[in-house]
Amino acid sequence: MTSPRLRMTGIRKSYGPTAALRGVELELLPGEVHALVGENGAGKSTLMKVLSGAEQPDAGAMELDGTAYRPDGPQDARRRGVAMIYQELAICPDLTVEANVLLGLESAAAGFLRKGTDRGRVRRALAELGHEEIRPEDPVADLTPAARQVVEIARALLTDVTLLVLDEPTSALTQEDAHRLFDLVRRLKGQGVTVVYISHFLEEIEAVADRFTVLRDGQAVGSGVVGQVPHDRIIELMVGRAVDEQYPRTPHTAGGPVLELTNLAGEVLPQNASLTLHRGEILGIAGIVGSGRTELLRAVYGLDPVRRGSVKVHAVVNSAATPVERIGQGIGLLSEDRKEEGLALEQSLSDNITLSRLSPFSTWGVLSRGRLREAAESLLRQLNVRHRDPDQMVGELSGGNQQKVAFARLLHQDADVLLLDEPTKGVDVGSKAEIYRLIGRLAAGGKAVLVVSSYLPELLGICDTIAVMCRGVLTPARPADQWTPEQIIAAATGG
Amino acid sequence: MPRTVYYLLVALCPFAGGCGGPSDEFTIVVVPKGMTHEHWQSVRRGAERCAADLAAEEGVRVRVIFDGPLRERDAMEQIRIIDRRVATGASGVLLAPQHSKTMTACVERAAAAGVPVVIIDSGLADPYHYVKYVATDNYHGGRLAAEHLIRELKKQGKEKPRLILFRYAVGSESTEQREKGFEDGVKQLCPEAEWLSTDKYAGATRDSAMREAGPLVLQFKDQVDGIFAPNESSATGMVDVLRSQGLNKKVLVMGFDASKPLLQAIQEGDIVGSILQDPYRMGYLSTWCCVRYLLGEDVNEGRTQMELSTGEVLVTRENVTADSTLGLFNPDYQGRRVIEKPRFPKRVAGRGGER
Amino acid sequence: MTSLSPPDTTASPAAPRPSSLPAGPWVGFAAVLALFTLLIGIRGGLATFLSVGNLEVLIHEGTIPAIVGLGMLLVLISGGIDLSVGAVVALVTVVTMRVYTTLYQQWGPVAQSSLIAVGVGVAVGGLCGLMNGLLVTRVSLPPFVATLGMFGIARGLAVWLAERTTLAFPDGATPGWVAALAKTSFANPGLWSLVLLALLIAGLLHLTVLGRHIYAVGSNEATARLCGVNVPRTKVLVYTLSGLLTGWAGIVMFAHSNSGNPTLGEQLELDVITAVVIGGASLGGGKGTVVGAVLGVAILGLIKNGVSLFNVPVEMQYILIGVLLLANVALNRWRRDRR
Repeated sequence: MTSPRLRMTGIRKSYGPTAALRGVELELLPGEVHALVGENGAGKSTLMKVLSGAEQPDAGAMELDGTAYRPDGPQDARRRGVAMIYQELAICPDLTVEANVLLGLESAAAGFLRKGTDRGRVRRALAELGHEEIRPEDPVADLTPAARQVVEIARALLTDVTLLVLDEPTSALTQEDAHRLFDLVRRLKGQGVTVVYISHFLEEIEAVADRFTVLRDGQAVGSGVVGQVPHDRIIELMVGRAVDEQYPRTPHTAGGPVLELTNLAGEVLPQNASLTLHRGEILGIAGIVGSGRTELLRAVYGLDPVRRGSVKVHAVVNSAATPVERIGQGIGLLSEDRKEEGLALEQSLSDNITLSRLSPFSTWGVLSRGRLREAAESLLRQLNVRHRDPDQMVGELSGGNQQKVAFARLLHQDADVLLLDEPTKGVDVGSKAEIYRLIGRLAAGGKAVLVVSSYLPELLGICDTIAVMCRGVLTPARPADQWTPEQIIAAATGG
Repeated sequence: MPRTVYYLLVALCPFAGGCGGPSDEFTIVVVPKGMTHEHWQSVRRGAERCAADLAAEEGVRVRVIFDGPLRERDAMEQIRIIDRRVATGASGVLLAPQHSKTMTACVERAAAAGVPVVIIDSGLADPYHYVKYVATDNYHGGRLAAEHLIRELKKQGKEKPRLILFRYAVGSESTEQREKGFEDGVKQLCPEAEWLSTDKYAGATRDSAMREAGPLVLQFKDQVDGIFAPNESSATGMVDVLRSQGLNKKVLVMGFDASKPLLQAIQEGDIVGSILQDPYRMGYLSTWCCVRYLLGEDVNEGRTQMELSTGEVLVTRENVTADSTLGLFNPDYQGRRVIEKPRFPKRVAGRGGER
Repeated sequence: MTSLSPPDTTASPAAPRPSSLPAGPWVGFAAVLALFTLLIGIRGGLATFLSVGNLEVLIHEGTIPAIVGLGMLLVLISGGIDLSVGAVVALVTVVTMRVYTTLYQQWGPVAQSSLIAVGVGVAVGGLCGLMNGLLVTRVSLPPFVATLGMFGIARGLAVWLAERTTLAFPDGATPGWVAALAKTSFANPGLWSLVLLALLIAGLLHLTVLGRHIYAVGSNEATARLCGVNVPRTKVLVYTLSGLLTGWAGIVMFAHSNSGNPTLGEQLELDVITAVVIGGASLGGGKGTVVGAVLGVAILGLIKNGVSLFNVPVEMQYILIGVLLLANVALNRWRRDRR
């Protein structure tokens, strides 16, 4: 057994009264890909911030290659060969590729940049990543998310990195880019670099990682060799209990039609979409990212213009409507972009939940905070949202709990037709099951649910019917049990 | 497309007022302390009238440009305007300097560029680089005020009047001259007069004048016979206080300058008289001097006669509605005035020339 | 992995961009020049407008806002704002005159006294900037608030030190360099100091590590911090440099106005921010160039000059500047969205 690259012992970190890390023990070996898994809020991000020097631990010790390691900042950590790629891309959009890669590592003589030397370094780093096509002098603002991530990784390669942390690296990537990333991770591993890989996708971990450690409630609760431990066991470790069913179903039956789309077309996407959604039905829309699924929901909701075709809600044809009118017709939208659009992260839970329907709490336009809080609190309980009090900021909650708050708003709005765009995006396994159960309950209560998801097992698991979007054109919906995953992929890629 | 061009040209026409182009012989730039005051509008009208007279009588074409800071306290802008106008072809400049010292440098630069400067309204500390100083003789105005007030008091049988000099502000050149003229006049005409107060300052506005006048009047209301207030705001502020105490008409107030409320107070007898300046004449004569200089005349007798007074006019209840009084500020009456023009000899080489 | 993703739509080499439009400030400059040439041409004053003398006037009047603009550019790129510059300029003129007068009366030599006074004046500007920087970093005040406070303090101090009046030079003791700085001419040392400073700031922004970090901090502060950029130090340097530049502008103003005057520089901050934003800088930070800032000042100067010299109604000046500002920012946004 080789000596570990990094050893963390008894790492503790608290933010005010909340303990994020409660004595974490972790060992990473040289040249291994080590997966770090855990629910949102388990402490993975905090632990990695401690590792990369962005946060100082309250207690505990770290050892890097046998010597004490206590970075006083990210810069210090980079000097020791520890680099981190953040989930939210850390990029200066106004700077060039080169400036971004070099940021904080510019070689200089008397304060002046040595541009020639630096450009060579950047080119070499990009070549090493297999991305010679990214030009150092281009502004980063012009690059795709995948290329931006490459820029970030190149930044890590500029130092002699021995320990690289990747936090949810594939969340913004296409499948092809993801595979290139896996290749890269393997190559780095071959060079003796230790990679910490954080992901929600057990499939990804299986594809790329050697060992894993599960984090729960600020503690490492188990680790092992990938492939030797079954999925169910890992999930059990993550949630702290056996997950009885990954896709719980509540029995429900379809009723009359509430939403009918006929040859709907938007500005660019979608091009042609027809479907009928019934009460008590969960209709899934599959398709690849960018095929026009989100745009379809936005057009129905009135956020994007409708160019052709018709939207019929409750037997009333009203194709071009504003979101205000759609809300009035009982339609609710759960946005895919929770952080930017779905929730006001700096506002309180109660404000977020009640925003779409304040009328029950106002008398002559004056709001009653008390009643508003009560209503919010009851919804939060009902959805089992882990929170302190309803006046807390949404941003303080974990991803899964934030998503439940977004659901709470739809429930409060009392929408009949729910348009759910990636309802489990960035949500941990435990919360996912709760959200599936909730969707099932809503359908059983006579609501009509339209679910857009990129995660096929999810659609197959919870939907009654599924339609597939391909390049803006929607196939007719078929009962879910008449689709196989292969058929859906074929339909989605136009094969 | 041609239609667009046509509309564009039509749209631009309002800006293209004088399409004649600058074929004028002389361009005289009038630079007041500020743009908004009625005083400066009279100066402008006087200058324009002078230009019209010159064209009519001698065929000398003069273009008058009125260009001053929008705000009276914008010290930098006045300097900028002088430099800008000198650099872009002004023949002469009439300047009412905002400050007697800080404005010297730009006047010197104008002179160095060969552009004569006539100083108007307020003095300039450097007497070597302008060609004429055309302004109200404030000292003389103060003396006129003293004469009238003493005369009126004697009419009432007050041979040993008790007086208040309600000063304006520290460091204000023009009003200090008026105050000095008043004091000297009183001492000469009526040495036995008693001064109750000479050390209270009215400050810049009518409001501040009222605040200062209140306690002063309260203290001396049983003794005071006559009051001199050396400008418009101090005079109206004082009258406001006297009215509120019921002392108007009992105490004689002498003012300086004019405004609607002040003239009305004269008519009602609450103010016994005021000394008015003649900004119209100031604009006229300064333009005249500037053009005569440009025509090669010696406007200051070899730098011995630098000052030209524009006259100070005593306005009382008797003449407040007379044409001569209205001619001081009313545009219609100004237009009917005939201004007597001083004549100058030709400049002799080596004498009377600048620098 | 069963999640569906498109085969490949990304990470293709950035296609050569279509030949970009002429940059906003150039368009604005050309438009304003054309407009006034047309307006003034119709009235027949073109020879004056385009004369060497008027060019000298334009450059002379633009010197102060341009020097202040260089500092404002640094601040805007770093994602901040500095509302105190106008008041600091006034304070610098007053302090310089006070120090000079005292030294001259107590000690004597005009040249030495005035040079010491200039040093003190510039240092006062730098000190105000340093204070701004510390308020923004140490006290974590938003730049808008910190510099708004400094605006009040500097203006108040200036009025107090000047005892509510305008301070003139003692009789016969105006230093020779004051006249040289105040003269409208291409040989004006103030103008050449501007050229030098512009080159220095351009070099700082594009050739040095500090410059790179200023852009980075303004573009994405969190990223800069993660990458090990010393964000507080960068900001303090930016505000101090801006203060020093403002201090030097104060000295030029001191010479131009021939006085120490606490009312100078009113609304200078708004003029300068307008100019620098017209020049392509963004209040959001991360953007802006020296050429753009100088062009922005030139555009504003051109508008004021044209309006003032050719009897275009004065209110046109404000309307034109407003329209130009909005059009420019809208144009930038449109070009960005089109990409």
